[in-house]
Amino acid sequence: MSPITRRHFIETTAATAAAVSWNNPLFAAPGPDGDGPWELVAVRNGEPAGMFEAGIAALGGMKTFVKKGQNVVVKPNIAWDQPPEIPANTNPELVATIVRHCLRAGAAKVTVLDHTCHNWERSYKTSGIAKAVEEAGGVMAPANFENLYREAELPKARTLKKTLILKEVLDCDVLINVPVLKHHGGAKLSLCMKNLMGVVWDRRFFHKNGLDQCIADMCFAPKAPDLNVIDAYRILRKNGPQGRAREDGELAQYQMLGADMVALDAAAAKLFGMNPEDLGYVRIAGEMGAGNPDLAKVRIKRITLGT
Amino acid sequence: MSASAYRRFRIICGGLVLAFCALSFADIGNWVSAGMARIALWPQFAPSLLGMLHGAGWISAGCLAVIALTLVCGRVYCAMLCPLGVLMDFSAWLAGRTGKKRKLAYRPGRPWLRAVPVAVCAAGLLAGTALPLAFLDPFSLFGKITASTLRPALGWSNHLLAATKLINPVNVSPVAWAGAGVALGLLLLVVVSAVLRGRLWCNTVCPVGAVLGFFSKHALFRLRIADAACVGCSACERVCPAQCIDFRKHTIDHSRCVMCLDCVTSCKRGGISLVSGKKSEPAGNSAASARAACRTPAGTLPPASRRAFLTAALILPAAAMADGQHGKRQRFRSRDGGGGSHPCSGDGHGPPMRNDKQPVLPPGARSLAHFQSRCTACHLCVANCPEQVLRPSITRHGLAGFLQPYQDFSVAFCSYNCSNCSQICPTGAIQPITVEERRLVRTGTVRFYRGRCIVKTEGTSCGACSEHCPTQAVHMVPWKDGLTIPEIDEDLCIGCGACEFICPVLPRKAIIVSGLTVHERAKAVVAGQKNTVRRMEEEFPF
Repeated sequence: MSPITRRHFIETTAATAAAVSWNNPLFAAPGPDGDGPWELVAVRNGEPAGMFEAGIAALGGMKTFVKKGQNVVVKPNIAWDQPPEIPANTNPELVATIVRHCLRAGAAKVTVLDHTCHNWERSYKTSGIAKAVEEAGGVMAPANFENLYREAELPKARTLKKTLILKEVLDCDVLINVPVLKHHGGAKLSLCMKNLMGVVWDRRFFHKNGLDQCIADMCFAPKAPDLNVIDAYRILRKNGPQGRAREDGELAQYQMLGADMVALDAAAAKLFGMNPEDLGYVRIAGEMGAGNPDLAKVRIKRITLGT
Repeated sequence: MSASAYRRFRIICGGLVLAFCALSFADIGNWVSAGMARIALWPQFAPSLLGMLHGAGWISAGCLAVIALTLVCGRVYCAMLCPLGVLMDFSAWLAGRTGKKRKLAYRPGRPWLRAVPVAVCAAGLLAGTALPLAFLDPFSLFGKITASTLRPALGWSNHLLAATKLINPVNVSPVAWAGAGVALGLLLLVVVSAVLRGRLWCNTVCPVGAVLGFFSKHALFRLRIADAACVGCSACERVCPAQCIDFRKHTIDHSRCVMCLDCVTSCKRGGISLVSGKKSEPAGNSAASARAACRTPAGTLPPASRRAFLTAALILPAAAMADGQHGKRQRFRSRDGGGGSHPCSGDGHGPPMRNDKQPVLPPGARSLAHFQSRCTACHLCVANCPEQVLRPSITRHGLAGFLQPYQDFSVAFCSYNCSNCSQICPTGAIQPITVEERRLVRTGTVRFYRGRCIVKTEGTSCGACSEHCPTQAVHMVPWKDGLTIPEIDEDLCIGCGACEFICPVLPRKAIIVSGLTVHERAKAVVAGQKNTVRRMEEEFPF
């Protein structure tokens, strides 16, 4: 038996606590959030791993999303050659925790990739994600070469009718989208839908043909995310999406999970201090019926850790 | 050391030099670090000479070590340290193995002819261009040839193999076809000349061979044919790749001898040996008569050519040292005129930009004049650029910069976190700088053409340029209808080209980086080194 490490202890404790409190009549006094199941789970005031443990437990555990023997692709944001302290990329601890959960749920293989903007090897390394994922038992795969892509049709899309999408993503059983909440010079904020640009080869098409519309169109990609986790442990407040210095990052300690990208993006916009209606792609995706941007109508579970 | 042991040593050492150079120039996987390259390429003559004279001092004094070595025992450099020389020996050996064994006869030397390339290189350096060296220096030739033939070949094989998922694909910049054509032609020339005439190239065209030949005549130890032992079988003459042994007269032209010692092993009677200088003069009666018969005895040049040699040898360093603001250089400059002040932004449907866009030099190149007078276009930086943004120029740098590297923003952009090219450059054309220094070097200036910008022409959001700008010299400011549009802060621009690379507007980009003739210092990004922290009392805002 492996020795009890600090990480192991925290994970197990959090998972046990979450499992015990989940649907337990002892804790059944209906909170302000009402009863599950939830469409969106928001967690705050914890570390990335701990917040994920609590969040995924509230969604019924990773086994709800990953079945034994399945091929899982985790798509964090690893676009930039920036360290975790400048939150241009997803938090490595969170990515590693997700990989561990997938493997524990019985996944045959967990692949982590992103079509990076900076040199991919550098970005994978500097972000800390390569090391964390490999330690967790996942596989880092390159995504910066055209022959790794295949043309896919998006019949329900308005502008992005077809595009080259990563074969790895098109062929996987489960796609887990793990964006980081950050400021973005062009799209205002980079969130779930925007993060899916990292599975596409020709991103200039997006910029050229209406960025917001194309981002919203990604909701209708042949392989849409089964689970989204917005990393708001550190938020990039300005100079996004790349970030210039640590002062651009804010330690906020939030995390949001759910299947509805539109609802998640709307919630993240509020967390950033913006009105979701101001985000073009959230508005368009809502109109197109890709999800629910009206948070009043979304069943939200709010968890505050450490209290 | 016996001659056969020396031969083995020469082959092993030459093989290692050839392998390392090939690895460095065909480096598709960042196998070779800048530090490794600096150490291993230290004795490469021409780059080291340029580097040393341009202020790198003893760090690149490998050329002095080579001269000292030559003064002791002849052109050992040509035998086992020159990658092109080893390549020639190898091709000749291969041809001899597979085809008919070639037999070379003695040819008299032409010292005056050999002085010409040295003079041309020196004249080029005086005029502020390293262009002649780029096509005569064996190291740079080898580099060019490998980087534009073997490297793309390796890249293609990698991509084929990567389809099996056993290895990761690598990023190799597209082949510059004209450059590859020139390199292939040169390779063919070198190989054919080696197969047919051995070290003809080294004793006719090569300026390094000529300079070292000048010193090797006065080497402490030289080869000598013992008159008493010689039976006139001509074996030594036939194996000599330099065609510098005259078996009839028992003379060896030490200025052309490349110290392969094949003659020593070829002599069944052990009649050829390495002896100290004075003894190597032909001795005995027969030799004396041979000497009398020979108009230009070995080891002595006619006064005129000696003068030419000395002049060239003096001019070369002097020329290299002459720092440059010569008027002459103007003639060689980039074809695209001067780079005065740039309109930085504006609503202009300005002039067609591709034409007045100056090529961007690697960070550390300091200025076009500095760069072009030192770069021998060896392509070590091209092969080792992690971003693969450096490519050999065909027309961008003009005539004087033929095959010298420039940053091609249509394929990639320069990293904010890298200064590898400056660290690996063997000649000092790209002066070594740290990553922190690189971030403050402005290699080019950004120009924004609002009239072409997507935000204006299509009325949709974009921001790709600002997204990619590491210093936020390009940042988005509110425009109309809730849209944001790029704004330029020229002081922060380092000319990395990321904005131009990603701009989706084609064929003429809406944002362009034009190279600076003289690099500038960019304003440092001043920003705090701590994250701000959200107050814990805050609750969920939804």
